[in-house]
Amino acid sequence: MTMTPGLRKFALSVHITSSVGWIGAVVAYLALAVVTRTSQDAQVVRSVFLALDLITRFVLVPLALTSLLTGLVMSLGTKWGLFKHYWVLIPLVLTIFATVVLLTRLEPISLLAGIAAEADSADLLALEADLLHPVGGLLVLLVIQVMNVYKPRGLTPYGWRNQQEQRTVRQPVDAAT
Amino acid sequence: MADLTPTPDSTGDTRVVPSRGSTYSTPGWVKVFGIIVLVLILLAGIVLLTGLGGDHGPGRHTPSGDGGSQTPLSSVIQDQALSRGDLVSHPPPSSIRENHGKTGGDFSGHTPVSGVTEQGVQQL
Repeated sequence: MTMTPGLRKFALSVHITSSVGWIGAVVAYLALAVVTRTSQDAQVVRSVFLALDLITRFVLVPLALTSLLTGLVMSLGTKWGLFKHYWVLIPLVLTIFATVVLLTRLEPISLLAGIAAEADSADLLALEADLLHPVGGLLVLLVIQVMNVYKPRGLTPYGWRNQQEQRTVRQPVDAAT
Repeated sequence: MADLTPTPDSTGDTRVVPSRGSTYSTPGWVKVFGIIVLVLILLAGIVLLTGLGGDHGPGRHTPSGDGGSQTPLSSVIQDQALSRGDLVSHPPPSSIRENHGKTGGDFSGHTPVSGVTEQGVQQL
């Protein structure tokens, strides 16, 4: 199934917007997470934990799912395919991995927001947001981004077999013409 | 996050398709990438299995009390998370708090956060 040029451009626009937006949202998340470790203002810390929860639920997760979905659509809707090229396959696997990890973080982040909402000032200043996952996630997203910009050469075994079969089919046609 | 702007030609053969030979070989960059990923997975596994990275879960980011009686914070934690059953709580590294001037709360007769060490990690 191949998309029409107009549909392909629309899907590509949504895909790029969501993917780059995902990276930007993670950076914003990281900035806020650092604040929970540096601020000495309990109200700021409380607000930040609530904001982290909101960013995760209403920005990060939608962007991640949109990026993953449009990536799948773009792959399946063009002749690049989903499993033919390593530069498509590896980012797909990494995107699924990052999305799954993000979804597993929903509950802990929500829990911390709930704790921060009710904790007193002394407790708030002892709360710290997680940095490991957002830093790791950011690195994974940057790897994906770089891989998609450079598109390093390389067919998967499936893509190679597919290419060989197409050549085998095409050769008799070329000979006939 | 695939930017699929360039469209392959009718044969699916584009500038990113390298394999022209009769035998398949995995690209070098894929091998290097695979090795790096494998090493990272092994490292993560070692860190998790040995506990070098501390406990894994949301409780690691919360201060802990001594568990002898209820504190406001532990009550909140228990109310919100005890049923989830996997929270392990320990205080943030004291060096971080000291570096940033944070102080632990001595709440309701509980061990001050700054006084709790790594050995004070407890299962909620």
